[in-house]
Amino acid sequence: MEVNFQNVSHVYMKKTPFETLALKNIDASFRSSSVTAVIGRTGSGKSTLVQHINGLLKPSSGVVTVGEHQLEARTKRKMVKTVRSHVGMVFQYPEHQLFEETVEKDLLFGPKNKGMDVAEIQKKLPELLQQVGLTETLLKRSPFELSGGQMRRVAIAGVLATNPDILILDEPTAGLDPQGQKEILELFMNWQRTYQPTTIMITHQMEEAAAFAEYMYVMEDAEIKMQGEPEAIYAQREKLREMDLDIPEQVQVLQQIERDSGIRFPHYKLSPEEAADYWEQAVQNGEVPYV
Amino acid sequence: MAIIELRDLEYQYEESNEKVLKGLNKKIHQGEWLSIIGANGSGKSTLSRLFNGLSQPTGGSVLVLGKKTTDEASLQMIRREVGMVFQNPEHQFVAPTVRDDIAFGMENAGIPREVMLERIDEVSRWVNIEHILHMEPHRLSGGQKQRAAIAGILALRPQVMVFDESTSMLDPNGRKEILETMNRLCRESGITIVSITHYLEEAFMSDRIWFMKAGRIEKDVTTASIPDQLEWMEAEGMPLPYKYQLYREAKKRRIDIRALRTMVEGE
Repeated sequence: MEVNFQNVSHVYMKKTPFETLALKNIDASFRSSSVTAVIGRTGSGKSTLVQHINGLLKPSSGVVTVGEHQLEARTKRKMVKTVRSHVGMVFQYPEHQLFEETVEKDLLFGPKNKGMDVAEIQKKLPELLQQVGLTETLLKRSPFELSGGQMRRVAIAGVLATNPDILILDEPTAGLDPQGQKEILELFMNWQRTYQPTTIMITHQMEEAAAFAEYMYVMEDAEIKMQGEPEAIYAQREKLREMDLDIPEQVQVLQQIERDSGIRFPHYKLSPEEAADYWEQAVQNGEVPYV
Repeated sequence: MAIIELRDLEYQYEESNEKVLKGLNKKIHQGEWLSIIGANGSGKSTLSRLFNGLSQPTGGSVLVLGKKTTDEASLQMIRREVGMVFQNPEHQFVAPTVRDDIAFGMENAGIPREVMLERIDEVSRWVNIEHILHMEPHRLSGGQKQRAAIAGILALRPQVMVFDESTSMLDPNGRKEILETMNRLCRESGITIVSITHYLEEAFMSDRIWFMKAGRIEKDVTTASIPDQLEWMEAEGMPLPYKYQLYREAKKRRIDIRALRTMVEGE
C-alpha cells in the first residue's frame, strides 16, 4: 500500500502563544512494499511526520494519501479508523504499552480492536512468537514476568499480529544493547522480506538506515532537507554534519581506504569479508599498489 | 595507588541461590579510565553499586581510599568521593531548576552557601551548562540532562565517577557530549572514571577494560592491546566496529591495507 504526502504542514497548538510549525510543506512518497528511513535529530519533525500516516495527527493543510484514502484537516473520525486498520505502529519503548494478564491476551488485543478474526489469529500465535524470537510457552505467562528484551519482542509481535500493510517503526531499537539492536533489526528485515509491508523507520542511527532502507529522508526544522538512496546521501557528508548527523562508521572506513589507496569499492554495503575479497582482487589485478 | 580495591568480593541477591559476583580481587588506580563490559546478567551493574556502598558485599569487601564500604564511619566520605551517574537521566532530578538541583546535593553535604555559588559556576563551566542553569530539568535534551546530573555530582568534588550505562538512552549526539565530558574529566582534572557500557567503541576510548562473565572478571586488558583482543571479543558475541572486523579479515588473508592499519593500530 502506497503513502503520499502532498504539501503537508502541521501546526501544533494553533492560535496560542505556543504555536509551532512542526511540518512545513512536506512532499514525500513511500512506494508499496518499500523500506524508507526517516532520519533527523530530536525535534526535527520526524515523529510528527509518521503520526500523520495513521491519523494520530491530521494535516493543518495539505493531503496525506494512504492507499485509496485521503486524510486532510477535515477528515472524519470514521475514515481515520479505516486508514488506521491498515497501519501498524511500533512506538519507542513499545514494552511500556503491555497491559494484559497474559502474553496471549496482549497479542490478541490489536487484532480484536481492528475487528479481525481472532480465532484465526490465535492459531498463528506460535508461529508469530517464533518469528520474533520467542517460544509459545510464553503465551500463558504474564508479560510483566519477562525480561526487558522479551517484553519488547512481545510488544512488537502484538503489532505484527495484525499483519499491517503499512508498518511504522519509531526508533524500534532505542535503549537496547548493540546485540539486541541487531536482533530486533533482523527480525524486522525478515518480516519485511516475507510479508512486504510498506515500511517506514524513524531512526537516529545512520547504521540502521544503511542496513535496512532503500530510500532515505533527512529532516531538519520541520522540513525535508535531503532525500535519496543511502549512497547518494552519504556522498554529502558536510551537509549531514551541519545537521549533527554523520555517515555510518562502515562507510567512513571504506571511504578512508579509498582516499588513501585509490581503490574504488563498488558500494558501501560490503561485508568485511566482501571488502577484503575486493581488495585482494584489486591487488591481483594491479589496480591498487600493494602497500 | 589503588583508589578502589576489591578483595574476595562476593554478592548474592537474597531471593537467589547463585552468586552474582564470585570472589573478585582487583584494583582500580587513581586517574585511570576503566570500562566494564559484559552481557546482561554478567554482574557488571551489581558490581557498580558496590563501589560506593549503594549495595553491600555478602562476602569479602570493597575498599575506597583504604576504607571498607561496610565501615559506617567512612560511608559518608565514600559516598562523597565516589559519584554515580545512572542510565536514565529522568530519574536523577529533585529540584525545579538545574541550578537548584546542583545546589541540593551540596546542601545535603553541608557545604556553605558562598562556596556553593562558586562551585555551581565552576562545574557548570566544566560541563558546559551555564546557559541552561535556569531551566527545568525535564525540558532539557537527554545529553543536557546527563550533563546536569554530572554537574550535581562534580560539585561535591569526588575523586571517582561511576557511569552506569549513562549513554545508553541518549541519541548519538547526546552520547558524544557525555563521552567528551568523561574524557575531559579524566584527562584534564584527573578524576578516576569507571564506565559500565555495552558499547565497545566507548570502551575502546578508555585506558583499561574488564570483561565480566557469569560473575567473574574474565579479562583485564589495556586498550593499547586492542588489536590482540579482537578474537575473543568476537567469540563472546560482541559486535566489533566495522574497522576492526575488516582488520581481522585482512590479517587472516595476510593483506595489508595501510589506511586500515593506521585506524586500528594508530600512527
